[in-house]
Amino acid sequence: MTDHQHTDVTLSHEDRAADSTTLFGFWTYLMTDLVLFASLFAVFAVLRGPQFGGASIQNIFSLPFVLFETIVLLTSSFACGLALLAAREGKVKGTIFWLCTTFVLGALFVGMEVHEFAGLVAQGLGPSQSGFLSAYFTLVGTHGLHVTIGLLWLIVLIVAILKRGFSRGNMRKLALFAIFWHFLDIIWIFIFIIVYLTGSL
Amino acid sequence: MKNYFHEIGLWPSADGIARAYVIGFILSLALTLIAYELVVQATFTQQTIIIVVALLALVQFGVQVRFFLHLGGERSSRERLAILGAAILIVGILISGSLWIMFSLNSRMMPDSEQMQDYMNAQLGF
Amino acid sequence: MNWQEFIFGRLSWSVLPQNAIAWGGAIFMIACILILVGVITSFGAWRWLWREWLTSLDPKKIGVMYLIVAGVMLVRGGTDALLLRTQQATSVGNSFGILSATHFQEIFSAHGSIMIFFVAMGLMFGLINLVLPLQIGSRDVAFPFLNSLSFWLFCAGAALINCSLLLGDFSTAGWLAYPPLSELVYSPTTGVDYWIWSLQIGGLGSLLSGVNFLVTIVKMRVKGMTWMRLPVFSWSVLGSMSLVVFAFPILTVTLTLLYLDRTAGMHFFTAGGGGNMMMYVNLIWAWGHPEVYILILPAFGVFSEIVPVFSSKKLAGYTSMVYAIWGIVGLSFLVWLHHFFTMGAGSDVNAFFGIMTAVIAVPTGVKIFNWLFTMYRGRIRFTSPMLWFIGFVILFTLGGVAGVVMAEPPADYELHNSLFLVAHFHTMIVSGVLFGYFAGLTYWFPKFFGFTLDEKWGKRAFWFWFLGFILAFGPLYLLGLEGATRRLDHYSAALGWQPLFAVAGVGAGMIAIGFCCQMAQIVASFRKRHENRVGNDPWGGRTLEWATSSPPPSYNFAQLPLVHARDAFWASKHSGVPLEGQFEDFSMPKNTGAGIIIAGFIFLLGFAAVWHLWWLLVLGFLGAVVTLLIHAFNDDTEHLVTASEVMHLEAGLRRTPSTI
Repeated sequence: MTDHQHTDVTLSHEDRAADSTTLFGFWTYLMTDLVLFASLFAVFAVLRGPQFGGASIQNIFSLPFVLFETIVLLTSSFACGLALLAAREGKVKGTIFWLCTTFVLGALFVGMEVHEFAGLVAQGLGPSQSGFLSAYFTLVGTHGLHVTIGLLWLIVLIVAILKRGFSRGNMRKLALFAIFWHFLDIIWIFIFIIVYLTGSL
Repeated sequence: MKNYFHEIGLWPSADGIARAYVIGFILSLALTLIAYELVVQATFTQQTIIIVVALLALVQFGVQVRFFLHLGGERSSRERLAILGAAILIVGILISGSLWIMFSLNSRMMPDSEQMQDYMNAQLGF
Repeated sequence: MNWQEFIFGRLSWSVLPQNAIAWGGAIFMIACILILVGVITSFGAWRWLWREWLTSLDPKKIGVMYLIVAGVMLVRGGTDALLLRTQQATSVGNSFGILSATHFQEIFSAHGSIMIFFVAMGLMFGLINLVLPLQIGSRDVAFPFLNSLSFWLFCAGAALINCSLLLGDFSTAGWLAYPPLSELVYSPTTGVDYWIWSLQIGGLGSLLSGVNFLVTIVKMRVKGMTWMRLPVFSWSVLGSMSLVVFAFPILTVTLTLLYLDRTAGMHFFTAGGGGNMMMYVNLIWAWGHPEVYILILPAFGVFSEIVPVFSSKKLAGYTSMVYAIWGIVGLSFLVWLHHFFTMGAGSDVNAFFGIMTAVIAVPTGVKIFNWLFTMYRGRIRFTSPMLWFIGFVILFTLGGVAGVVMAEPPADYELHNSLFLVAHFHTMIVSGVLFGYFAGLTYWFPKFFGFTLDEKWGKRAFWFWFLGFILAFGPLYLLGLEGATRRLDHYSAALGWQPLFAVAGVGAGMIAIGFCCQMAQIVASFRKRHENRVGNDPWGGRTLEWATSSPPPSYNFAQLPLVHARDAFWASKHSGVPLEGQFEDFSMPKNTGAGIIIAGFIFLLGFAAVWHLWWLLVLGFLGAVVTLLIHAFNDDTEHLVTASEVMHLEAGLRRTPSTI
């Protein structure tokens, strides 16, 4: 497998239509995920107390820790973009490097979150302790679950590219993964702001 | 497959993408840090901070939609932008509606002592 | 936890049925399954079934399968209804009817859940699969494999809800399972878990279908079919699928949170621990209201196809019909609180939602007027589809204004959860959704089978359903106004309600006869299929599906049509400009078993979640994921059909008459 995979062969009209339809379909699915997260946000907002910016929330997290998580995930999203840029140039090594970077940062994010959750449970502040904690663990946890699924997808994708290079199928999967990954970082913005920042006030 | 991402409509044009990602990354980082600092420093009233931070979130949302997801420029992303707009509308209705409803229900059906006091005062010395 | 608990979870011998009627249901179900398996085996038809139907990605076949499953579930939901009516007609004063209170509660919960999720949704997706691709001039839906997966997930959900006939009990908490009744404290058995998981799995299938059909309409319309040339049925499907896409995730979340409360000890909706039960009601109806519009919009679309054809006149007010659809779609997200006016929100909140509810009646009114204007001065043929429509107009209008009465919160404080409400929503769903899909089935049956349904039995079916409905639900409006609440399993003789309940029981019996007429219709139609054979256009249709042969070839169109106008087929018939485009090469998807296999694993996952068989849950999940990955990396999913092959196939079809 050469490092440079430069096929300047453009897609046939049918293939282009099919793949852009798949892109649109996957995007539509992400919109359903948006509504899913919105419902979880609504539940969180209701269960944490009647006031928005609730002084009634216990401080169960360390804000610097969460800031670091946020920057890690943001950088991971950026790395994913760089991976696509490398794929555009046909550089297998570069693409794999940036995808691995995306993975490592994403795994770090999940690891930090698991650490945070484990710490809370150890203190007796697990999700079954109160409505607020149920909502917190479920909202943040659902996002973490999506990220974990993304990581597993990423492994599959890395292996696929190593085996078959930049086939049409792999490029399509890469494109779908990228919008999934960017979407998850966008959701995190809102979790960071609504759950953590306003919860710290 | 040099132009794959452009051909399927993921990228609006064949170039300018690298720049878009870098700009998006730097702006997002800046917006995150500014919001963080505002909360940590707490030099303004809680009300102000919440509003500004919420706005910063929305701006960062726009930044990532534009520079990471490449929506908003071209015809090729028109459908995805339209469906995003519809989703945002529904989400807005769902969240604001639920908050309005639940606030009304909670204060009338499960009031805390402060709300109970307010209610009794409103009834003019019930 | 000892090894027995680990392996068997909550299963034990005591979960088998506990009374005669319950055993009756279980045995009947098992007998039906055994007979079916026996018949297939005796014909040696397993290979054929697998190859031609179970692994097919042809939406026409998937559509037929949806309709069959929906029909079977209609038998179960209808039997539930007959049991409920019998109970309410006989359980007065000193008599306590044929059902215990608990069993009665399980039956009305099952009745509602089955009718909405498996009958109405099944009929809807069945018709959409059959008709939509043809109407927009496409050969298939956007994501054929996803279509198959959606159908099999629908089946997995139906299978799971039917398991409760044999193993364990069903939920007693109604079709929406409000907490705290549905929480573990008050419903410790598997009933609510069955409800959660059959809806969750079926709901996932629906969500994926929503995405699929939405993308199909946006991306796969044939060239020349601009938005304002789209048939109204297709517009109604687009509206409905938009609602599916935005509403079903709310259901997914709400069901999951209830399950977490019950299984992981969380406190989303519990009575203590900081839970908020009212939030459940809020969320479930934020989904639930769009759901009823999801069901009705395509039924309206069916009428918009039928009325012009059988009035020999084009649809009045096409543009306003399209705007009305989108008005309904938008407004359906702004009315959901009207399902819980009495839960205690302030008058400002109630007033807003009350006004929006009154407003949403307007676009529906626009549609009804347009259908009537279409009929005015038309040459009307009173075929059974037209009869279903007329029955709909009368009943739906009356039931609809009953709804507007309840849209006023002060009136609703009296009528909420009364039989008046029950009568209202049954009128909407039966005369709207059911009559609409029955009309559609009759109208499109000849297209997909090559012969018409027997008209005599069709008309008999209509009259039994129509008159039966009036007898079954007319009394309920009156009883509701007299103060009868819903879900009563017994009432005092002094109230004097029994005669009305008895009439309602007779009505239910008539509806059952109507259903039997429909079964007779199918048998008679197959018997007489050679006499009733039709060509491509038996009714004088207006839209593209009538341009194909009856039944159409698997690839729908030998030559994709060239569309220049609205009602493209009608336009071509009357202008003489031919509809067909060029012969060309195209790809068709290959069959795959991945859909049914993945759904099978998900069924195991659901079963495991209900019975707490955690090892099976993991297995089911892994099985589904691995199968999905294998499918995702399978490059051999399509086969090419060349233009010359198509030309040969078409020539062959013209020479020999189609045989079934």
